[in-house]
Amino acid sequence: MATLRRMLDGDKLRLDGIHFLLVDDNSHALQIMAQVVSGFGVRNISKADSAAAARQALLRGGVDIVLTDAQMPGETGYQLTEWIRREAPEPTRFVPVVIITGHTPESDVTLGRDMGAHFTIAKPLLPKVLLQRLFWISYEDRQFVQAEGYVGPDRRFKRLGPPADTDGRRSDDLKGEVGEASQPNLSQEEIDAMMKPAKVVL
Amino acid sequence: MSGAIFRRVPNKLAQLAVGRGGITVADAVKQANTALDGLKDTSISIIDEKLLEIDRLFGPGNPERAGLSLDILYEKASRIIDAGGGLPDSGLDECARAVCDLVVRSRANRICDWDAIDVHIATLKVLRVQGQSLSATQRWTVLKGLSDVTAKRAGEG
Repeated sequence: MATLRRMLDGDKLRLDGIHFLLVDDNSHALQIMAQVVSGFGVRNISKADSAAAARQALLRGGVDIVLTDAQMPGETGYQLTEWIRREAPEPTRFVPVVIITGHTPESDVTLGRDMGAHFTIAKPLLPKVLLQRLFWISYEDRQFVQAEGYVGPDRRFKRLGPPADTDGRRSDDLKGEVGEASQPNLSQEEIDAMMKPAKVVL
Repeated sequence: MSGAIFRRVPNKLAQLAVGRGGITVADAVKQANTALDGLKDTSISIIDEKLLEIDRLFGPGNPERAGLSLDILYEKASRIIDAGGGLPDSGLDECARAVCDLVVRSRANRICDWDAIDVHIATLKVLRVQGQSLSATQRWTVLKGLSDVTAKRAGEG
């Protein structure tokens, strides 16, 4: 069963053996991503300034995770994600993909999820927010789904969470009610709720 | 393809990242924040540069602004969001997102309200100078007001 545990300050992660591919057409944003992941102890970092360059890097193999900007001129991060899930050779097809986006309307979060991204993160990129998603990807046990209309990590989430109308008693319990976004631009919590709805029963 | 196929696939992060050794979450976040500090000056320069460009191109001082594509405004506001980490707790990135919202909604509703754009640009400039000295409540009030303006002036309020 998948779990969505909040990471604790004392939890340990070892990322020095993981090969990150960072994709953004904006050089400063790319630099920010690189600084953050190198701060996490990552030593193997590849950078691409377009989806086309990212595809080449992915075809060379060896990439373990992709962090990509959403809005890039020409081919977007969503299209890159779709290519990874549907056309890239195995095992590249299964690499975790995290989409990083500046302006985040609800439709884009849904698009990212439906293209097969693991998570969507709102800019500006904050180390703690990114690390929490890496933590979840590392610890979760989501199956990979291949269907005609969708290829990617299982979008359903098995945990029922606390009873309705309660916030739960455990420190890592998600709130029972996520609520609806009132603005088109979503907060990180709202994005997370859409990527991993907590009320679905399998 | 008929029916869905469920597969367990190797997750290298699960294999390598979780286990003995490594650094703690607290240390990783601290190191990453320290690494980002080195980019802070560049981020602030980019924010200032984009703010100037937005004001020059889309501010009330440009009589030709009606002929410009709002996509340019969206792109420049997006760059402020990218670099927003350089001025944390200023509300500037949220304000830049509100600008993007305004552009998207204006496009969808086929409205271009220059008064609304002026308010957003003025708020960007105020938050650049005073955002970090405002309390969270004050920033929220400013941004909520902006959000209301966005909805109303884009024809949705």
